[in-house]
Amino acid sequence: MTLAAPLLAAAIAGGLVAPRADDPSQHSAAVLAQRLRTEAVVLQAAEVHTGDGNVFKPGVVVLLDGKVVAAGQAPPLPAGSRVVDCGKATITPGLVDAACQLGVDDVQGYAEESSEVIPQLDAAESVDYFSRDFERLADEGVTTVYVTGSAASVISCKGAAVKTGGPIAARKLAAKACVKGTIGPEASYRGGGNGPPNRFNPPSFHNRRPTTRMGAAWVFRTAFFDARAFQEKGATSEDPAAMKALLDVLDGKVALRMQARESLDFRSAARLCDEVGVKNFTIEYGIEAAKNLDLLESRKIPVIFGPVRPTDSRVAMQTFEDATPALTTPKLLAEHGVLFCLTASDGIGEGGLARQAGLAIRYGLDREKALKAVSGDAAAMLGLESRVGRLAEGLDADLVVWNGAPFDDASKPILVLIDGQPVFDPEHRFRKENS
Amino acid sequence: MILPFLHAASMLAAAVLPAGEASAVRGGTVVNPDGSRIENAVVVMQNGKITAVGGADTPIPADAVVVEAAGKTLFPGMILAHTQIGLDVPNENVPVAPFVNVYDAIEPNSLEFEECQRAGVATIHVIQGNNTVIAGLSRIVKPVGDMVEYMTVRPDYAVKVSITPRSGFNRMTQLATLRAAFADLAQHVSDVAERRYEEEKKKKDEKVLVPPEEASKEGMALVTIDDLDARWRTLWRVSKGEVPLFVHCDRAMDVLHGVEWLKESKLLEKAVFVVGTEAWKVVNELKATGRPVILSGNLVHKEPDPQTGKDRETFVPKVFADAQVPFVLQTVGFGFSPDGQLWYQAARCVREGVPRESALQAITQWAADAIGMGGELGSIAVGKWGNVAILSGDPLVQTTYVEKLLIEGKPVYDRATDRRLKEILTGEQQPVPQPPQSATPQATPPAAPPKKDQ
Repeated sequence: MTLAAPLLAAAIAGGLVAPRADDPSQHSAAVLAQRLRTEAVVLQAAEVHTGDGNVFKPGVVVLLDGKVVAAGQAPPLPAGSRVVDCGKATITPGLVDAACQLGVDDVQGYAEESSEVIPQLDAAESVDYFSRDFERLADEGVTTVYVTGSAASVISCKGAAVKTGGPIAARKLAAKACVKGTIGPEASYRGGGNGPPNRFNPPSFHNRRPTTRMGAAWVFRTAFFDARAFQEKGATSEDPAAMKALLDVLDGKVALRMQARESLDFRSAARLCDEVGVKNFTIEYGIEAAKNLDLLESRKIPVIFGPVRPTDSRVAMQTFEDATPALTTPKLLAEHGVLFCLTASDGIGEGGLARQAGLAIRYGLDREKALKAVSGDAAAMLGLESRVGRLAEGLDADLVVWNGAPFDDASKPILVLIDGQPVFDPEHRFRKENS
Repeated sequence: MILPFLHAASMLAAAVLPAGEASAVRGGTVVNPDGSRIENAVVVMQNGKITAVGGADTPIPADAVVVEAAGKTLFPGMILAHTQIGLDVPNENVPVAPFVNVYDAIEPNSLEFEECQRAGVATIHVIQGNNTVIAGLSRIVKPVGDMVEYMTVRPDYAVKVSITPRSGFNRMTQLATLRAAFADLAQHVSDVAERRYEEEKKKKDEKVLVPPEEASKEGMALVTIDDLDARWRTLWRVSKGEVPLFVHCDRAMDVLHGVEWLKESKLLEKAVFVVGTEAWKVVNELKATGRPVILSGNLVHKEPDPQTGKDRETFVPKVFADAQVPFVLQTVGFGFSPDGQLWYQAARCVREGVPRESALQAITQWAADAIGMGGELGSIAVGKWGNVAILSGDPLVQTTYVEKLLIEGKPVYDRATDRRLKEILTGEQQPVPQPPQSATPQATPPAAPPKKDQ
């Protein structure tokens, strides 16, 4: 199977855009793109995992004009559709990372330093669609990412859900607006220049940021207090736009996620949200979730878990936190009925999302649940469940063709489609030298 | 830090079988790296070596300790052919330090050795790091025992030489320092030879009638290793071709310099190349040397194209497999991150199109060859050592675990009693095992004081 992978990939990609035998003139890219819009494509494979727990062996996915028309064992095929046989391959939905830290400027540069409370800002303004990160993510089967706010601010910006490929105009997705709070240590030292004062940087305007967890909690608390005051008085000395955004969080119009890797930050997040009156929030990067199952289960707090033991994560290198994941955390979360998804943060390659799912499987999570945790459930947590994350009628035709069991250590994506168009170039990686 | 000690000590107790005692693994499928399989196999081990491998009808000695492995996979104990685990600091500050010995630095209670058992690694070549010019003697150990002596498989095995500049050096200083070290050694040996010649003459009450150079030449045959300054003894053995050399060459150009230096020093036959990711560019040159090659744990070579900014990526083991050059896989670090496991590195190779047999040999047989133990380790075969990992499934499938590990015929690890693994998996602290009850009858406890209200 592995030896045939490049050939298979080429055959599939070729099949998607194959010119009609009876009309060799239809070779131009424009004509082919037009045909993909107007003609249904039927992908047949040994297995189709739909991302909501269903598996069809063998299975069929029908695509038309960038959308999934049907997925199942033997759905009715539209007349005139082209059948592409993927052989022994497996098809899954494109993967979704709900807390990605790639595709923006450098991790440090992404930190906003003008204020600790910036819920009025939007990470979409910082997303660089030309970043090579997106190409790599797409190569690895990640088709949608939610670029989350930087932990350098106590209350950070709204994140942005974007696709990792396809026309730039169509990449931004309308996810539910969500801001991020950080009360762990990162809010007190991350940032370009305004870290805590030290012997080289004496106290000044530039390092006014909180320097401890209690300082961060105070900033968090004060911000919501100011927002309430703004609501009552109609005026504020703070940025009114920020205050309005915080009121939206209090009203539930804008969701809140709290970064909490270490156990005490889970507890603080719950306590502070209670205190300021935020009813629902999500835990982001909940590394020590296994120690807080009681809290998560009783209060139904969703968790974005990961990344586990990243080898090359720059973010992880900079946290200096002593958070240790129990390796069976995804399994435990599933057993306790906690809604969760997996994230690779800034991980790519061996630290990427597929490997995070692989680790979850290794340490006891069922393969279908692992797939859900990086597709359907991740999309649902972003409010994108009717757009991406599953192979179901009407959803975007974002899918991954694997040369073996998905997330298996010995298998990899051989074709990735975003909106029905191939974005994965089998010639891109390991081709020139290895063929 | 008391917990790992207790753990290692309890494992040691399990590992001690009296000499001459036999053990056998019954049931299970032998999966050898060369692709051969024996279903429902019996592996018999005596005196630490495998004495029989066969089907279900293979006779098992009556006194053998039998380990049942029905439904399991039997795979040779994996080998870390080049690692710094157990060392607190991988390198000296001194660029030329062949006089040190990892024997003095190996920490037997290091959790990494415990992790080796869990990962099915039975043999570990502990050698100093790459940030050196000439480093000290290495040691091949097994991950069992709380004393280095007990762990030792091959003492004082090899020496690390780096062609790639250590920190603060450039390539010219690196090679100049390397050559100077051997020149200094030659000078020292020559001085000792002269002295020895004079001493011999003195014993016979003869006068030294030759110039110093000739005295040195005449005295060369008299020099024994004990005559040398302790600083130079290892390097002297190296120069005589008695010690394998692990030659670190990070860049492709370093490989070329390394081959040239080894040829001029007549040490090529003792060399093992420890290469970086760029080594795929000199795969043919490495092939021509016929010497073992240990790849870096990072298996992908990235080279940004200056024009397009795109990374040109090469999966290094695939190039070696295509060129039919045996290679040895290492890990990135060692432990629970995916690429901290040898089997995972092998699975990655299969993912990128390396034949399965090559990937499996790269963590067993070829690794054994690289540490000069190809005849003793690397497969489950008669005459080889009884290093057998009992796996729950295929070695390259992610849900497979090491259930049990036998080293030299002795069961040393059992997943069922791995207390720390439970902690790592669940995050819950496990009770510390109690020391075994003494066999002598306990004194009767003092009678409880009478209760007042009765």
